Amino acid sequence: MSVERRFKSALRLAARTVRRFFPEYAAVGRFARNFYAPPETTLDVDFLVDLDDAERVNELLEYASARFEVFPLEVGRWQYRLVVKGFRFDLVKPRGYRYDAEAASRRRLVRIEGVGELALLSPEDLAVLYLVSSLDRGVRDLIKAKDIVAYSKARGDFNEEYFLRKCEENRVKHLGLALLMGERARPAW
Amino acid sequence: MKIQEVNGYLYVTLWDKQLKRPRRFYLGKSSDPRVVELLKAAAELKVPREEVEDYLARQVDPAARTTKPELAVLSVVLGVLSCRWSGVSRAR
Repeated sequence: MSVERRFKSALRLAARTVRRFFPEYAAVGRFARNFYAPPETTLDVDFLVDLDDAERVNELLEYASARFEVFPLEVGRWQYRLVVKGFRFDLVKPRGYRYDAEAASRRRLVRIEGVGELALLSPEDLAVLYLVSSLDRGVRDLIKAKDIVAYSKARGDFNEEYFLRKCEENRVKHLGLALLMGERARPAW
Repeated sequence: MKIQEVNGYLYVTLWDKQLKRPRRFYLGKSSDPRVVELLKAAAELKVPREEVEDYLARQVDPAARTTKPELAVLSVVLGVLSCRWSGVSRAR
């Protein structure tokens, strides 16, 4: 089986497992960013889930560990890794980022041939998440936020009002406003 | 963007596009200028117009209004393969 087909099969299994316990999940990280900006290579796929919900995390660990490599196996961590057919899938809940029902309702469903539907965090929410993580990780995450904003605006797919509101809620409005300085809305097509 | 230091604390005044007036934000202690550096970097970041046009012309799926899904899939496949190859060459 080609690497591509094996990855698609692994992604389908991983997404199905995560969805089973966390239907409100969203793909985040570089894999999700690549749907909103020119793709950059990555080694894994990250899923944003509510890792504070110990009961559901425990159920997922029990289910997934019988099928895939999973670590760690204790509840209460901030990140878990599933290895499916040799590919890495991380379950994360980034510190300082607030994922609420509104953000979940604005997820984008993308259809990938051989995988099916996958939920991505919206471009606005993903840019906010990168701004929050830039406070710890520095300029490299700021650049990812900028890419998402600039290229999504160019596609005519970015709600600035919503982005700034979510920046405010996540205490990064100063970074959001600075990022928008010099940006002009471009025609969509 | 106006950055001020007052009694050992840093503030920035920015035009708030939502409120349509200037607004001051607290940035922390002046002994830790990391947020100021981040803020300056955020204001200076630019994406070249040619790169945006190339992306729109070649990499976007007009129906879905996202990057073509096969390119996003390829980003993982190539990442994993290049990691394996570099591991093999290191081992040699």
